[in-house]
Amino acid sequence: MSIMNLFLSFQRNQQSEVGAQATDFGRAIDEINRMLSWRLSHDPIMEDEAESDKDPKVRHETRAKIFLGYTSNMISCGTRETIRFLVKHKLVDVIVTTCGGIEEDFIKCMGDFQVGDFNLPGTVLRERGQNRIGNILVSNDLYCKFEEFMTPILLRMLKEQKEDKTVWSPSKMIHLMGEIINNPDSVYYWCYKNNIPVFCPAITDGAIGDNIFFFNDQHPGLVLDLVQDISLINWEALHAKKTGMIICGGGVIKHHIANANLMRNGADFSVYINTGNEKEASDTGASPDEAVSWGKITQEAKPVKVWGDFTILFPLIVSQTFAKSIYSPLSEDHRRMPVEENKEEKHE
Amino acid sequence: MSDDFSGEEFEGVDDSSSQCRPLAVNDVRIGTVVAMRDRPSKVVETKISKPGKHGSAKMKITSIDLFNGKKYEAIYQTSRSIPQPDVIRADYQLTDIDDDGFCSLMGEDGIMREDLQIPADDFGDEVRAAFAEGKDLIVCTMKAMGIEAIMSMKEEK
Repeated sequence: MSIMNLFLSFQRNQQSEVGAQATDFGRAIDEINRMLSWRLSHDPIMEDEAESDKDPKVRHETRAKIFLGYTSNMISCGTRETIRFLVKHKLVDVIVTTCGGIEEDFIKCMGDFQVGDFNLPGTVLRERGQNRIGNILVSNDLYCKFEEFMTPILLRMLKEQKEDKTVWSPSKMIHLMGEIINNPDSVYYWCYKNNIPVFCPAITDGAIGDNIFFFNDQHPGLVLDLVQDISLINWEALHAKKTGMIICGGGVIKHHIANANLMRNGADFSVYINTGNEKEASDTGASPDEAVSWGKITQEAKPVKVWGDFTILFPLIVSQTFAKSIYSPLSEDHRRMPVEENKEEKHE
Repeated sequence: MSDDFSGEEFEGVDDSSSQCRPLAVNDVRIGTVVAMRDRPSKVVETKISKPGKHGSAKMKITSIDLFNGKKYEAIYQTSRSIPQPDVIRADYQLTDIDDDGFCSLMGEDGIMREDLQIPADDFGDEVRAAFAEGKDLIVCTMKAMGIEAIMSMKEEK
């Protein structure tokens, strides 16, 4: 059986439909393709719309705003490259992640992570200066290099805060870090180039926070403002004509995106990929239908949750959705244009 | 730059930073005198954090201010240096104490100075009482980072 036929078999109403999570996997692909294909011209003009939005050309070019959220393990493992593909070609509009999801992307520009084993003993690893993330190993040396990368950035931020009265926020800091890394391997380099905002409300919960702590001890006074960022992300949702959420994992990133969409009475398209269990009443395990009860997903939406490991599922889903929109679109509305390699500026 | 620099005992006009020399953080031990928060202080505790997620190895240094007894804590990368102030001690013969506590002091070279006060605490009261009894007193001073103060006294035999 070819891969294509395999994927087809995951979809509903196929003669060979598989059932269980394979069916939800197929539904997730359909939901994301709907997210990609929607244009404002598909919907009737409403009386209360702005005049500029009634212009057919504007309606044809207005697409759903896509929020992508992921926990840090997506960056720890090779799905970092899948995420980079999405931001490089401007296929998503807003990113929300955790502190580890920010720093590990930069650290990977300084050296490779190694694949180890889940069963490597902690005491031996500590003695050898290796830190374990699941079955992935990161050496202490890389964190020392990250410290050397962060310190001048923090110095610059403090200087601009004092001299230019700059008020820094996590998203502004990540934008600056993306500018300074200046490396096309980095996800946040592309977010900087393509002006994709990256929100990380728990920015101190990782090595970035460790560096801020030590820096503040020597050079007190740096301020990171969360107020700006909560305003920005909520306005991102409010300004959009339709929104889509693709949320890999749980915790802060899942809630933060869903809550922003609450501001506009819910996201129109939603896909969750996680291994959470709703029986514990956590937000991580909550089904999309729970989000409908809060108004975080619209009542008309057809949201999907796929229960499973996104390290396997996400690249497969992207191959059938975002990658297809560039290389073999399902329709003209589905088509996306890639960012041309030869249009990139030369790096200094 | 520092948060808790109390300038109350600052009497000199020297540039206090020029009276310090860099000391490798790795060489700091209990008893070492270091400049913490721009104050001369004696180290009472050190604790090293091994290299890890926070980056290179770090030393947490706890110290007590030489002059006012305040406690300071700070964290330094072990690869860096910390300023170490010069501490100069001297003995003077106490010849007079005025109403404001300013002492007339004669150095070993016979030169008088009248710019130091005894502190307004129990130790200061002890000095006054001993002087009033007619005892021959030697006061011991300490000077570091532009701060100078009378630290102790002893009776001249």
